[in-house]
Amino acid sequence: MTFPMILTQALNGFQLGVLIFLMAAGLTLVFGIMDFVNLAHGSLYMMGAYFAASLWNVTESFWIAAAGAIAGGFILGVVVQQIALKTLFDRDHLDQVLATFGLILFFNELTRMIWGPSPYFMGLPEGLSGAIEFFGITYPVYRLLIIGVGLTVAFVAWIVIQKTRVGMLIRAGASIGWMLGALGVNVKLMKTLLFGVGAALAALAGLMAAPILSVQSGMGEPILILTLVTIVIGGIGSIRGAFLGALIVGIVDTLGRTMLPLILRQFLDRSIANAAGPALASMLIYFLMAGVLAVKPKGLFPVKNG
Amino acid sequence: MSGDILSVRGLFKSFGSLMATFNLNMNVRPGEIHAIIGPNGAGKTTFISQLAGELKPDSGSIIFEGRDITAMPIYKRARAGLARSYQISSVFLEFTALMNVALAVQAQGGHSFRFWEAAAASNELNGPAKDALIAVGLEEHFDTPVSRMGHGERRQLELAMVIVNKPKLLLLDEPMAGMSPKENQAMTTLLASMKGKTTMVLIEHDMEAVFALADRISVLVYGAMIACGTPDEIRANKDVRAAYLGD
Amino acid sequence: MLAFAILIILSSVPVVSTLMGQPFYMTFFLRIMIYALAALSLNLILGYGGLVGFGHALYIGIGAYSVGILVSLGVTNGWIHLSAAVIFSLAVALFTGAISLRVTGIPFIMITLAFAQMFFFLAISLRQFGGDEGMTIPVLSNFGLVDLGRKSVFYYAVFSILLFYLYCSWRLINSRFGMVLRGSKGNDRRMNALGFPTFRYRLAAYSISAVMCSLAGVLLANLTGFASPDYMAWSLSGELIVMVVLGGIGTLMGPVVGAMALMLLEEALSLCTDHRMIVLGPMIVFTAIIAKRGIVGLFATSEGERR
Repeated sequence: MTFPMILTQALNGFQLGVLIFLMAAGLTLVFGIMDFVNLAHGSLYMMGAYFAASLWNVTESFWIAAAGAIAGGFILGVVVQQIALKTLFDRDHLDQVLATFGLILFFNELTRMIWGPSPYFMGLPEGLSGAIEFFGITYPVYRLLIIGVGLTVAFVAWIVIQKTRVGMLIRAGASIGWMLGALGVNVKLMKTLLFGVGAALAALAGLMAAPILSVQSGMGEPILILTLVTIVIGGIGSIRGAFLGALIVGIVDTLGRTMLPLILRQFLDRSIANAAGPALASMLIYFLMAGVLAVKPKGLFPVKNG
Repeated sequence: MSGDILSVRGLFKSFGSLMATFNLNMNVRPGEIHAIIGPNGAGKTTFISQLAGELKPDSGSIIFEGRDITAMPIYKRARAGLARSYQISSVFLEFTALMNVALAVQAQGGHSFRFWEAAAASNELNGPAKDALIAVGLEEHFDTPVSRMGHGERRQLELAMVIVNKPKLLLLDEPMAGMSPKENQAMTTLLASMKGKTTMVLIEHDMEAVFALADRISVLVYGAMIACGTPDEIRANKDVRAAYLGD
Repeated sequence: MLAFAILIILSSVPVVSTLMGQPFYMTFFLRIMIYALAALSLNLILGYGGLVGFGHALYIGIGAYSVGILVSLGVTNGWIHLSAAVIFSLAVALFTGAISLRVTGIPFIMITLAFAQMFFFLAISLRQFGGDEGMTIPVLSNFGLVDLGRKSVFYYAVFSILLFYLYCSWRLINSRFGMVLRGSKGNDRRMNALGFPTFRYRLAAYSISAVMCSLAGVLLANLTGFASPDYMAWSLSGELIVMVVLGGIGTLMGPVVGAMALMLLEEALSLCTDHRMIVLGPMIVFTAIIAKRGIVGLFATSEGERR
């Protein structure tokens, strides 16, 4: 276990973490402020990836693909919300689970119909496909870009939430959502915009992931579940919790997968370590979640409801 | 003071920068009807929630029958004899009135890990439930689903659910809320008939009822008790009139 | 009444299918009944208890793998399979329930989903037991007199279990325990205020539901001769929820009706198109939006139906 290896894996974990953060930020606001279970968030991520990949295949331009995917994600989010989900905002969680589950099935099939079941490829422009050397490792430029984008979004989110009136409404919304209407805030518009922004962030995550993961039907659900674990650990409704939770989950999951089998090999028989290692590694974040919940049932940074 | 059934000392509760309960002291004597009055926003519901166990005070203590119950979970307080009714009727809409009250009986009759016999067939549960429903005037409505009951009837049901287990202390959160004059009168008569037998803490806005029923009245303003005494003493108290004029 | 009609249809399937020379029907309806058992168990905590758990397929998986793993270790006694399924599902339910049930609403949904995924990945990583491909089970559970190898025997055995589950559910729902569960669904706060420590009752209900579901897993493994991580997939958990809601929340026959309706629907759709989810997905969305009381609700005659 050398330092360069650890650094590389830590950076990979960081990069996974920011992708999860992009997903978690939108989702935790929807959960926390609108009390709405949106399981179809993973589908928005997937559609972002498909939009980006399609645009790239047509125009060969990464930047057009990126802009298109984000805009497309926002529009898709608003459309889905207006057509299918609007009536469910005040309903039972069960109905919301059911409806968004139906949407997952629909979108997964839709992508299969339009783009086929095989993975869809998206490449990178010259400038982004290289690698940089530092601290003894060679690390892909593109992954650094992802980290950069994620941190930028986190920073912008922090500024918006802490320093602007919109942010104040969001923070207030998380604790006293029911009063905002009485205060004259156009709650409907705010909810629609929030949902759209969340969808755009998910699409951004999808587009960033497209060149390095395989774009295919059903790609949204694994990351959705990581996102849900993150939100549970971080605390529902908390952007800060989403950020720290995402980093923790990203790093624990990535480092765990590489280091756990190695560590086990020191103590156990090789064959057992090889079998148990990956098994335990993939379960690691769930144990982490269980551990956090046992001590802090509302997550690490719960939003207090006065 | 020993002999008090309930003793609250130095209770504090704040929400962020909002101080909802500020050094609240109060005691309740066995058998009395002790009313709490105060302007809106004085912290009455916050106080009752702390008594019931739904909110945890920041500091201070609540002593019930000599036992410190400040940290006791809600269900244990109920089993210890502290019953609480809600300002907005909190009943089980899918069930009938009888089932609602039977459930209240069931709550305090040992454990409920009985998986086979129908609860609805149990005389052990239905007997006391029917008595309670008759006492509050709902004898015609044993099998009426609550969803079909009017507001006043639901308030009566609410009361039946808390008196059926003969609690040692009854916390009543605005039992008259939203009642017609006739219903109000019926409720007042009913509560009056329980005087001396059941100790009650009564939060109410309806001054007529309060002055008719209460043995003592405590006045809650900005989270603290500014006065406590008999109805006559309170009526004459200058601070009370200043703080509470017109309410 | 709908209930009797369905039960009569189900009981006559083997006869009809044999007469028609189409054994496929028996297999198909066997599958429906097994899913109905799983949906019945879910209905206990979802329909009557109000707990939206998105990880119930986990227990089907536990049941199936109990059979698979034991058979691969040379144990073919069905009663041992059953006991193993019960013990493991109980252990998992107590562990995951103790953690999940401390929260409600959205967190509960997410945590149950996450735990189910945990075991899903565990199953995938068990390479000596098939990994992500799953494992074939060459031998059926040996239950002595009841020979699962004969389709019609298997069928009527499962049918009897279905009747048994329905009867037990009925008794459970109307018992004191059931009343606590149902009360907690509507108004948990009040239940506590009355003096019920609701947490332990919910944990008990959750555990009972898990054990009931694992039995369905044991039967499924015997029907398909297969145990696979897919039996624990979140999508299957979702389908179970659809069955319960489609059939009618908080009704006794709801899950059975829902299982039948969903599977017949899926079968019909796959005959028409390769892309049945394009239709089924929106239909599920539609069901969530408009269908308040499910199919059973459509047939219910009186308003104060006390089921």
